[in-house]
Amino acid sequence: MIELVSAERCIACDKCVKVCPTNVFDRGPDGVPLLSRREDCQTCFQCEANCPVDALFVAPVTHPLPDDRAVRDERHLDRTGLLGSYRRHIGWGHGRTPGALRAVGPRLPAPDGRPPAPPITS
Amino acid sequence: MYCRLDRADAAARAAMRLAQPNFFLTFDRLGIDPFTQRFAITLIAEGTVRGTGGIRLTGDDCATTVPGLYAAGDAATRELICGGFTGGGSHNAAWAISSGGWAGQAAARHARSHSGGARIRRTVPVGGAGLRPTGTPGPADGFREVVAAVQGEVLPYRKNYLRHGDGLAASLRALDDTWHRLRATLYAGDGDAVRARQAAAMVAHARWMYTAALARTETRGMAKRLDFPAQDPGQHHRIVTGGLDRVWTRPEPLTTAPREVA
Ligand SMILES: Cc1cc2nc3c(=O)[nH]c(=O)nc-3n(C[C@H](O)[C@H](O)[C@H](O)COP(=O)(O)OP(=O)(O)OC[C@H]3O[C@@H](n4cnc5c(N)ncnc54)[C@H](O)[C@@H]3O)c2cc1C
Ligand code: SF4
Ligand code: SF4
Repeated sequence: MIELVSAERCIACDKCVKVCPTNVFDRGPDGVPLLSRREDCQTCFQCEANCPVDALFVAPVTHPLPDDRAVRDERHLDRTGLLGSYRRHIGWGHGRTPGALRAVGPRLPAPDGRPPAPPITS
Repeated sequence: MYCRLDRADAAARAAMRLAQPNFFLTFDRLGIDPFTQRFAITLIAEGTVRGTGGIRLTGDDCATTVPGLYAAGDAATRELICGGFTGGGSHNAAWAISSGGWAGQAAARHARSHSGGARIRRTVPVGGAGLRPTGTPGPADGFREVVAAVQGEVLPYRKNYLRHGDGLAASLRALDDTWHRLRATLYAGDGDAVRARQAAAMVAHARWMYTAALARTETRGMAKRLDFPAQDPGQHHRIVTGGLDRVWTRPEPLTTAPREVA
């Protein structure tokens, strides 16, 4: 579930507001998104993947975490490399190689007709 | 129940990480190595996300029974490409892209055929449930109760996964009640009109789903019935369903029936 919106990092680009499939955000008065419908968050990580400045953090659980948890501590998330880690992994962002270019698809049958190894993707 | 991906060698592990970074994101954030450590798993209802049903298509251009309405992707039926099996794992995305192209072309053709007249046609709002209640409107957040009522009939494994005629019929009665109540009262005003409409759509969908499940008195593909565990060669057809205040079903014969695999 979405846990952190960093007002310090946010550049008010509205990307997260637009991409969230369940319409969790509203644009706040200063442009920083508000979590208006947080209970609708389905932990899809789309907002985080699309934020150009790594201002968002989605925790890997489907329910809100108690207030004192480290998932809302921006400095902790930054230090541990968690902030922006999804974006880094999928290679989104300027100067990165998109993950789709590096992914390995299922093998095609060999020319001699031997069956390929079973695909390892879903 | 616990799981561990212990049969992936080093090459497979690396390839899996590249192919499905989304899958590993959760593990990495929880500090679990799914290749060496056990993790708890559970069943999740995916609804129609990987399913096969959807709006019935009547032509190769993704036309529907409503003139000018073309359906594509998850909204459209995927039975045409995967039969009674799941559309998950490559079919769905491929279908979304292909059908989107066909439907888009057909919609453009349709619009052009009105040659300028489209914009001056008189339009009439027709949406009923959740938008124009037939009785006294209920509270603005009435959609919450409706959503909870659908979830109560659709999410429990014992009702939706372990399907039995008695259970399906009982769920259907509850969903029919919810439908008739919401028809009379559900209204959220302008602010939450979409949520009210979505809630109404969930009830309609759940009723189609269980009505169609009751009509299939056999087990075939992903349609499973505990009370009819065997496949019935006499039911080698699709089931079409529809209707709002009264839900109906009818069998639709296959135009190109695949030959039985010996
Ligand atoms: C977890 C998961 C894993 C999957 N894995 C695979 C896979 O491995 N392989 C595969 O082939 N497929 C997979 N799929 C399925 C595949 O992702 C979908 O079939 C495909 O994305 C559907 O595309 P679509 O454009 O039809 O629908 P969507 O991508 O759902 O697009 C519908 C859009 O309509 C918008 N919308 C809804 N209501 C309104 C409204 N009232 N007004 C305006 N806009 C609205 C939504 O916000 C959304 O952007 C997976 C799906 C999920 C959820
Ligand atoms: S994780 Fe997904 S559902 Fe949740 S706020 Fe971000 S985009 Fe919306
Ligand atoms: S995507 Fe990031 S920068 Fe843009 S509005 Fe959302 S939080 Fe702010």
